[in-house]
Amino acid sequence: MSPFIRPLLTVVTAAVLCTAPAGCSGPESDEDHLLEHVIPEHKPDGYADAVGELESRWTSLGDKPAGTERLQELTDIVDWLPELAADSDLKRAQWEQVQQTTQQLSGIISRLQTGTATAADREAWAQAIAGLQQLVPDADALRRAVSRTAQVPDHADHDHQPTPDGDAPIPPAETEQ
Amino acid sequence: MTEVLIWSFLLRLTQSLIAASPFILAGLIVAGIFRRLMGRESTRRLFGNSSGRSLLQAWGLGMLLPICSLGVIPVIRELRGMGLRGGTILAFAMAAPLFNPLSVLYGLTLSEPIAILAFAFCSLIVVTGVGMVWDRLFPDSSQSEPEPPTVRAGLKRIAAIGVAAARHAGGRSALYILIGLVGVAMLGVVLPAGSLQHAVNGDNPLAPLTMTAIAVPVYATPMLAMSQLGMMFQHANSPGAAFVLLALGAGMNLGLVFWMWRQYGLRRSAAWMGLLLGVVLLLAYGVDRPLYPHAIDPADHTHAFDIYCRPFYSDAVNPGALAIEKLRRDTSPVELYPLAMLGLLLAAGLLLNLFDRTGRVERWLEATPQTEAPRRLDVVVPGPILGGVALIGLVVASIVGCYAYYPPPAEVLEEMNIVKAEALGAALADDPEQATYWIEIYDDWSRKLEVGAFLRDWKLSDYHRIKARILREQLELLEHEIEHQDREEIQQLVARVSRSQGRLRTAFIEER
Repeated sequence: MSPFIRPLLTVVTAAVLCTAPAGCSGPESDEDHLLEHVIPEHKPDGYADAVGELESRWTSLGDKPAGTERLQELTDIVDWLPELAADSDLKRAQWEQVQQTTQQLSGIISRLQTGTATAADREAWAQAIAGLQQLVPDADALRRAVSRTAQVPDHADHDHQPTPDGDAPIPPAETEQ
Repeated sequence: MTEVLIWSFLLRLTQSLIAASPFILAGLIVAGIFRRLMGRESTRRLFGNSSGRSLLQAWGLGMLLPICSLGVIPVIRELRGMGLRGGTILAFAMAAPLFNPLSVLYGLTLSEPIAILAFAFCSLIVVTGVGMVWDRLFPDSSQSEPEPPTVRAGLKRIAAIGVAAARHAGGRSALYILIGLVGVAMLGVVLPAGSLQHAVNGDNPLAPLTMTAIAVPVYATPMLAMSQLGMMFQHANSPGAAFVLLALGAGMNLGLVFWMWRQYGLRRSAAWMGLLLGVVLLLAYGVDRPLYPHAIDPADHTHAFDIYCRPFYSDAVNPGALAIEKLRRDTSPVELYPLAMLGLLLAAGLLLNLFDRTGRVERWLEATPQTEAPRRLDVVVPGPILGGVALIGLVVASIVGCYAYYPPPAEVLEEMNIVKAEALGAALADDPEQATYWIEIYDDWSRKLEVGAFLRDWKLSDYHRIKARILREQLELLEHEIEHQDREEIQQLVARVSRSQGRLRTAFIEER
């Protein structure tokens, strides 16, 4: 056998053997192959919902030491806040304000993980949420504008099927998320 | 089933060849420049001779030159003939395909740019560390061939570069490149469609190992590897596996392994591979947790590696027609130019290697004196200077190319509007094939938008990154809903994507 062929065969065989285990399974048709993006149940539908959740969940924590799961969910919501704010009509300066507040809230939660919240933390949390709440009307600006347009009688019967060419009307039941 | 396997092989082989052709061309030109312009002494000096800094220089040169792991083959064959140490050559061979100016810029706009900087640093450790140990273990690995006589300045010197490149294109280098291509095409036969979608999930401790098992035969251009890293971070897949993909998927291929075996023998090659796999795995597990993108919801799958699996399911009807249609649709006319040039060079090389085995053409180029007497004002520029200028020119051209490849945001947004209309129109019209095709292009433009803005502002804010990321996530959700054929969800997502596009425009035009 040529000295060129032997190493070639060995290299190819080794490669096939390495990849063979992965080749034993896998979907065999299009129908077997449906993938999902799992959205956690506690993920808020939009920015306004997230701010509401942060307020109510904080209140429900009260003075008791927070359970790991509840605290984790609160942490998740805080972490999602910039993403949810970016998926809204907030402008850049407003979004950056949300991002800054998120860091502040994360700091409070990390202190909460090592003990209970202090009075200063409670005060800081309330102020941060108040700041976030002020942005809620702007986060929803487009949808509210569309709703106002939809209330005009002449336009009420128009088909609200989304169109691919830009400013698609939003179905009434659709949430921000 | 056999038909599916055959067409899968052919499709993957052709796709890889088309993607690789500009990088292979660049590699052939660099090999010609080293041989005919730079010459042995200057090239050895460029790579630091046998000094301690040679590995670092090899890594730096590799980072700059726009070459892939197939294009590097003719270059390392030249370097081998010039008597460079094995560690330096292999370090260059590994580093060159990992990054180039274009892919680094692309990488820096990913949601985790720190990961790209960390990966670049890790690649430095891999190539210098492994190269140093290997050189210590096998100090007598260099071997040199007789240096070809110099060709006098003028057109003949330029022709000599072309002849050297053509000899590689139609000779042994082509064989090694073909082996590399066969390796990735074989993956497309062995791995069932979509079988790697869950293999590298972020919570899978075996993800880096699994990636190691498939990454050596994988062939990825630097840009493809970088876009795959982007997809992996977008899906919160294992960063360790992403590093393995970059180091071994982009950095190695079967052709390189085979060349190494032929040049250094089984024991030395096995030592290199063993050291390499060990260090890469160690670093992969080292970066896996620290670089994990906690802010992103894990998607439990990725499409980044679908292109290494079989392109069709086993129940596909008429895979031949599907393969041709896919090639026709996925290949842009621009990609055909380097392929045609490579074809011409290959044909010239085959003719040269078949009909001029003794090197008569080279002897004529080397020996025939210039017929014209040099004019008084003519300046003969030494070959090494021209070679250096040519190499710098190649780097500069790839940087200038960045600006053409990544247009300014306003232009990209115009393109995105057109693509959006196609993608969303197809989604609403229940045309999954068209919709999926345009969604992929739409996704790609959203990345170009980020890089284009980054190139012009030299910064990209978190605000702009997250706006683009949200659009991509919605596009992916839309793709899944199209698969599920859920009309109501599709309509809602179409509306969301439209709105996100509007916000993206505002962000990149009015809020930069």
